[in-house]
Amino acid sequence: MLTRAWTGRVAPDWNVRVTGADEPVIDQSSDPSWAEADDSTLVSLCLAGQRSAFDVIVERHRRQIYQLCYRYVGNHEDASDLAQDAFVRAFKGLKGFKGDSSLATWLYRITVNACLNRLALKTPRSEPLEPGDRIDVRAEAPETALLRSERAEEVRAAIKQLPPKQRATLVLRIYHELPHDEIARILGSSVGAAKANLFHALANLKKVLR
Amino acid sequence: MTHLTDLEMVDLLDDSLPASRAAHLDTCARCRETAAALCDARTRAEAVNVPEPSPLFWEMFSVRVHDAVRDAAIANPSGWLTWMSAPGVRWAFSGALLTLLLVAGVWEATAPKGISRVPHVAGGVVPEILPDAVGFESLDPAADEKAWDLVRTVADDVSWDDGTVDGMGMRPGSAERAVDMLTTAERTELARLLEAELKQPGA
Repeated sequence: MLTRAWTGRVAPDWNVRVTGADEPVIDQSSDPSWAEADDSTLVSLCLAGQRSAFDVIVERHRRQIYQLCYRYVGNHEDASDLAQDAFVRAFKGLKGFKGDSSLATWLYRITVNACLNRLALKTPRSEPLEPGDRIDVRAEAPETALLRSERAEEVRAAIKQLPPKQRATLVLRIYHELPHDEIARILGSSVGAAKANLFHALANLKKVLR
Repeated sequence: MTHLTDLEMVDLLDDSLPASRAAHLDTCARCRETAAALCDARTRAEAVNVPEPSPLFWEMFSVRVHDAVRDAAIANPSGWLTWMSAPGVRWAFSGALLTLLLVAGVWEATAPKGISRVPHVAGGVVPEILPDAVGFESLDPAADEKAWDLVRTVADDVSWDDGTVDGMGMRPGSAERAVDMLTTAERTELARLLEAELKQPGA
C-alpha cells in the first residue's frame, strides 16, 4: 500500500525548515563514499545485502523517474505514487538487472511498465493547472503567464489523450531525450516501431492542438 | 520521387535524414506540410515543463521509498522461504508429508513389535530365547494382537479354495520336505503329537 507524502508547495522566496518529532529520518548507515560509487557498484552492494545503497540509487534517479511519471499521468499525486512503485519494483527485481543497459534505462523500463499498468487499471486524475502556484510568473506580465499556462495545460491534456505506447515514446524522446534504440528496448519493440510511434504521437498531437 | 516515409520524417526531425532524401522537400509541398506539422507539435510539447515540486517533497519521497523497500524486504526475507511459499511447492510438500504420515501409520499398525530387533542368525541355528533376557521382547507373534488382528481380518475374506487356486495351498511333496528339515528331536516330538492325536476319539 502506498502512503502519501506531504505535497504542499512553498513559495520560492520562503525558507521553510521542518523540525520536531515527525521529522523524517532516513537510515544514515550508508557509507558516505557510496555517493561517489557508480550505479553498478551500488547495485552490487544492494545485492550483497547493503540495503542503504539503494537509498543512494533513489536519490540519484528520483527526479528523472518522477518527471517521467508526471509526463505520463499529468498530476503530482499519481506521479509520486507511481515513482515510488517503480523504485519498489526495481528493488524487488534488482537481481534481474544484468547490466546490459544503464541502470537509468532499466529504471525507465520499469517505470514505463508501471505507468502502462496504471493506465490499464484506472483513468488518471486530472490536475488543473493553478497559475502562479507552480510557475514563477514574477518575471512576466500576468496575461503572458496566463496564456503560457493555458497552452501548457492544453498540451498536457493532448498528451494524455495519446495511446499509451505513443505517449511513452513521446515522453521518452522529447523530454528525456533518449535515443530511439533505447526507447525500443524500454518498450520491447523494434527501432522502426519506436520511430513510427513517435511519428504518430506527434501527428496526433498536432491534430488535437490544431 | 517517392514521398518521405513516417520513419524518414522522424529522421528528418532528428537531422539524420540523408541529404539526398531531404532534398525531396524542395519539390514536394505535401511532405513539407507534414514535416512542418510534426516540427510544430514537437516544439509545443518541448515548451511544457514539469512543475517542480516542493523542496521538501524530495526528502519525503526518499523516506517513503526507503520505508516501502524495507517493508518489501521484510515481506520477502530470503529466496528459499519465497520458494517454499509458492503454491505448487506448498501442495507438493503437503502431499509428501501426508504420504509420510500414512506410511508411518500403516507401519505402526501392521509391523510386529520388536521384529526388527531380532538379531540375524547365521547358519539357521535359532538361539534359545530366554523370557527374562534383557533387550529382547517376546518373539511370539501371537502376542502382537494388532498385527495378528490385521492378518485374521484379511484371511477371513480368503476362502481355502481360492487360496489353493492362487497357489497358496499345499503342493505334492511339501509335507515330506518339511519333515526332512526337522531335527531328530523335532521328529520324535512330531511323532508323539501325531500318535496322541490319532488316539483321540473320532480321529
